[in-house]
Amino acid sequence: MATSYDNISPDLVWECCRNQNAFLCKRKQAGGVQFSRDPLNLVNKHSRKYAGFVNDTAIGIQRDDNTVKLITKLQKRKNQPAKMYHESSFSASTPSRKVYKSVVNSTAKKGYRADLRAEAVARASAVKLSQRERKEKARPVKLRGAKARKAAEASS
Amino acid sequence: MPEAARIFPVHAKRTSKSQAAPSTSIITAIDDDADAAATMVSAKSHVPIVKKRTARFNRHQSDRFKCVAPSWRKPKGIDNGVRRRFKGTAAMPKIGYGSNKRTRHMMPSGHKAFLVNNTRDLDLLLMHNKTYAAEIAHAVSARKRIEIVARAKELGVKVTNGKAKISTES
Repeated sequence: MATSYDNISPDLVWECCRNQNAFLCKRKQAGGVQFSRDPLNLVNKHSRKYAGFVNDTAIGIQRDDNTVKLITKLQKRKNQPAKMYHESSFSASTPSRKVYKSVVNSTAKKGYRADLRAEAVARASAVKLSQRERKEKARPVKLRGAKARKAAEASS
Repeated sequence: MPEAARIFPVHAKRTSKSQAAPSTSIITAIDDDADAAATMVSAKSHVPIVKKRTARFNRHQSDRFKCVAPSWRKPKGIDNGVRRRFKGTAAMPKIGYGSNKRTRHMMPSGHKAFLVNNTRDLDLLLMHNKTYAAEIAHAVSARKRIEIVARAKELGVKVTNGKAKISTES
């Protein structure tokens, strides 16, 4: 018989692991910044709202080779960690707007973490942007100091 | 909710008409930088960075004795004039010299530094490339630095020391 942990609330989990957990990434810089590596964290921020491993429902958007992968948590299977996630991916050729639309349609529109709508779209957009082929712009190199003087002499 | 619902029409308009008026929504802000990101993303706009004092606070009498190092130590003596803030004596550090909270820890570019050891750390900055810049840790090899710089370019993350250790033949 599977053990039932119904009395363990997300709030309790959060209080237990908000100081230290496997996803947390702390730095002394910038006044002690804290990020989260959690794949179900849409903004990589260490906070109660975005902590995907704590909440019963969470949205995750990850890059997967050339595609965008959408992960959601299935509330029904919260005691089955291996089967808890629902994954779907969008091929590289899917237009950005279509990706945003289906991300929202499959989550926020259904009342599934509607508070994360903007973040989900923003992340999908950022992931798409990072996968885009970029043209190298040839920018003139601005020389300084001795090199600039040398170049000026050579040209004159 | 109304703001989020606004996202789609606004964005659709932007992509169909590339010359449309700039908007403040998150997505368009990212899309606006599509060309600029090829090189580097500039920081979010912020209030001007004001340093109230740039000179160092040197320890009292460190200029008179070589055995007294200039690192700041608060004078504790009962008769000490500096401690009693007499006119003409050296200024002591105090909370009033602190920077504006909104520009604290900020580099002149407007970013804050975030120490990065590998590309995995870099991925944390995907959604923060306008607030944070990556700083490659000193012990990272040239081979891995190249990987990190390349990935940062994809993500549009600024790297503060991207040219270090990567020498090109001149």
